[in-house]
Amino acid sequence: MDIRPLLLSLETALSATVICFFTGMLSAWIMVRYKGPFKNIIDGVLTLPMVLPPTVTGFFLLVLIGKRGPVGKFFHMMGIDLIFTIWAAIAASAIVSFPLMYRSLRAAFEQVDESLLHASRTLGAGEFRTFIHICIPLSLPGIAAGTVLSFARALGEFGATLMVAGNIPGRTQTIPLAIFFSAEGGDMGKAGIWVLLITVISFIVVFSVNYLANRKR
Amino acid sequence: MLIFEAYKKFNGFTFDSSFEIKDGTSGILGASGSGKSMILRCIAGIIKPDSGRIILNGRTLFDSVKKINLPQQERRTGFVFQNYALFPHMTVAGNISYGITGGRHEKKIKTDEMISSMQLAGLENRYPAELSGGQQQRVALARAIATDPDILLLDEPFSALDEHLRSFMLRQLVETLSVYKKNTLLVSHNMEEIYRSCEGLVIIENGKVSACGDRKQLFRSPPTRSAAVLTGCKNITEAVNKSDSDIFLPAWGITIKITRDYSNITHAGIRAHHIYFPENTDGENVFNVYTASVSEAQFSTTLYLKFNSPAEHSNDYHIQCELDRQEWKRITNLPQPWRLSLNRDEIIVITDDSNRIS
Repeated sequence: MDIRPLLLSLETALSATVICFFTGMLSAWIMVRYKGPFKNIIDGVLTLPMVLPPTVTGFFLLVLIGKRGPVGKFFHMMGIDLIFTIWAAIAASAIVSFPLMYRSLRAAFEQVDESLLHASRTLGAGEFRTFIHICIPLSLPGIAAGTVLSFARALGEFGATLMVAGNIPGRTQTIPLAIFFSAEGGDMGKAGIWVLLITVISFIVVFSVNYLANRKR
Repeated sequence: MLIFEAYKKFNGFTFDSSFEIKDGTSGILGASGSGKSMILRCIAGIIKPDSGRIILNGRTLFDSVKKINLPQQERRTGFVFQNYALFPHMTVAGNISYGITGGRHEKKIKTDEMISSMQLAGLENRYPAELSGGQQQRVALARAIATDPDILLLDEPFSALDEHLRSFMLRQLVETLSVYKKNTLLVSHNMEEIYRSCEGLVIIENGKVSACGDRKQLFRSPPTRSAAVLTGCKNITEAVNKSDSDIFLPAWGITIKITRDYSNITHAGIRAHHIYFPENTDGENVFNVYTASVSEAQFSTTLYLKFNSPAEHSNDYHIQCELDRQEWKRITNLPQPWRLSLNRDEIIVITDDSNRIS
């Protein structure tokens, strides 16, 4: 049996999670502090990929990184085509799972007692030190839960990936795509194995989220 | 020396306070919601006033005209929060060393010094959740003092402690402050805490400073009606000038003699502890009273009394008075009306130029 969809899935989901982790961390940190008039609008835009159908996200991404899109053109000039590569799959997964990370982190940062942050600052620590030494350690359960959730979302990504990365076995065919095309091609046995595998992984994810969320310090 | 002038408008609340305090320990006394914690938060930079200036020992922390607004971390204030705000994921030693600047070695020395001087030895590796309230307070204080701040800001430092711990912790705080000679601003709604621990006093009502000065002076002659109430004066009523040093108290139906002639007197009051039942009942400021009700505590008794005529029900009274056990025993069986006397030196007089802050 060809295990390349598993490897591609893990590669895509892990890369997407790493991207989400840092971008989510940064945007959550900024948004917790930002009290300006556009707070709700920015927050809405950052959350949008969670509620939009993945095909819509895929469409936007296609327009953006397709050969004629602004980003795609730029890379094309440098001799790189993003579309129908694993990079496109990673981008699709990252965008779709970003809101889960962002919202989890924002909620985690917001529940940190504000007086602890003030205490840190009055003791002479700047914003960055306060964030690293107070905010992050006290948000760890939320950070872990957000990471696991967005990994799971990235792993299950189908719609947007199909639109920008296609279904090229060995190159862009991840488990969800393999399931769809196996089932469509009548190979229910093969589809069943992937279904079983992804169900197990997802269950482990949900289990660990619950575990992390309920863990008391 | 702290110069504080701040104005800030909130929804339905205007904070507009200014005062100056000398070095040493000062207290801010106010009812809850009066804006007293706001003062500390403005000094520490947690809240930014709309306008004003805050100058601490000649260093400008905030000045809306000069557009100066130092960030919290550069203000050198040691803030002890009401809930202590200890970092729950750090040990006692970790909390104390957090704000100390310098190398690892210096941090260690300073932390050890604070731990031993604040009687925290043996607790270095405990987490805040494993400490008692009193210990937590000592850690918070040690953490603030360890950074060598220009001023210590204590926000209701005793409110989270049990009653029996309070007086002990209060004495310990006074001792610590005298050892470290830190300028301190302490916020409390408890006048006794402030009287015991502070020399200077700022009284705040509805976001405005109503009195500022030496605490003994302010407790002896509070300048406004509510300052009198906040400093614990239980009996206060409107007063009308009659002649020279005689004033008439319409609500109580009596005329009393005071020390001198005030032209613009508005209220007069007497503290519940300054009411006497002399055996010799001649002399000035002696009146007939009848009991409306009596409330006995373990060591003292509170009497609710009415002047001149018997009370019709338990809430029909003019003044309340505190007596110790012995005195209560002595007078309890005397026939009514009792003869009550007030000492003219102890009568609190409030005039309408009280808006001027001395």
